[in-house]
Amino acid sequence: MSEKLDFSELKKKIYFSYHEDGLLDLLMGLCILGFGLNMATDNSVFLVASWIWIPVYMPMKNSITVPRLGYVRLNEERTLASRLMLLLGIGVVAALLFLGVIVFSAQGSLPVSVMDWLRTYHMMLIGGLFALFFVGAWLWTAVRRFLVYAILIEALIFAGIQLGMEPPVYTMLPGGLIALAGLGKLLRFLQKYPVVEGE
Amino acid sequence: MADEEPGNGDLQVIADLDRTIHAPARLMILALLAVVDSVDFTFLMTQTGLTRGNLSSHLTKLEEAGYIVITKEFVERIPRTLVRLSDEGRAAIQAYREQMRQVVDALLDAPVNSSQ
Repeated sequence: MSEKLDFSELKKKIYFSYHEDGLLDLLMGLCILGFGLNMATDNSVFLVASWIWIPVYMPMKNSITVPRLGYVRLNEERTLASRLMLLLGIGVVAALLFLGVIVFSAQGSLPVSVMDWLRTYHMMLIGGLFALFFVGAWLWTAVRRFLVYAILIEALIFAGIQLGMEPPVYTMLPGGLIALAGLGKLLRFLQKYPVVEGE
Repeated sequence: MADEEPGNGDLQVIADLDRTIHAPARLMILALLAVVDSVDFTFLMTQTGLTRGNLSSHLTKLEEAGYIVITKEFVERIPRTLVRLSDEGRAAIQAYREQMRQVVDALLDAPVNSSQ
């Protein structure tokens, strides 16, 4: 045998192969890129276009991934309801933090040091919303690269601020990198799994 | 004794192995189905590397034995054949595993004659 037989790994491999199409990476990367382009050009078309991935994600999954890899329904240990609750919790915490910062800074009731920090690093808060999405994707799928993306977004924004880059540049940078990584994964996926003729 | 089965009883365990499961292709299919809820025909093809005709014939045998359940559904007017392991199939895998364990244990314990 060329490989060690491990059936406990089989389920994990099946599960991960489903997220190897790079679609979520590509679409979310484009979303961040669109947000950055909107900042750079002040053209709201980019902002609207950047959210196009929400309605196209599942149709793309069904037209690209399923005909190539097939369809699998896994025995999920964690139920859909508990995962939805977890994501909802993350969303609520993010929204409260964001609203809290806006309200308290508008009232001027935040300490001066915090206000100074916000003035310099406010883009990290906005980037944090994108990062939170990837943290949610990581918790949902257990695919570690999503967590890497979350860290990458915040790290690049922090580095961009430190290096004195313009906000659109350090916003587009992680978006472009994630979209490129997604495109690479998608191309590899298309190469690995040609379309299987219908039943 | 007249009521005794012919042949060596120790070897009978091997003869009694469930042939429906024992075929490598069908064992692959069942091993895959044992770790998921259900899969479609395409997924079984991509994962097992079996051809359409081959897979279809093995699925028919497994369905006839009652080890799998095949259902058809339509997703956006495209037919999807879903396959899942039945309770009977799960029990058969357990029984087969026990039988194979006995055979392998016996093989490991047996002294092997050297050619020299």
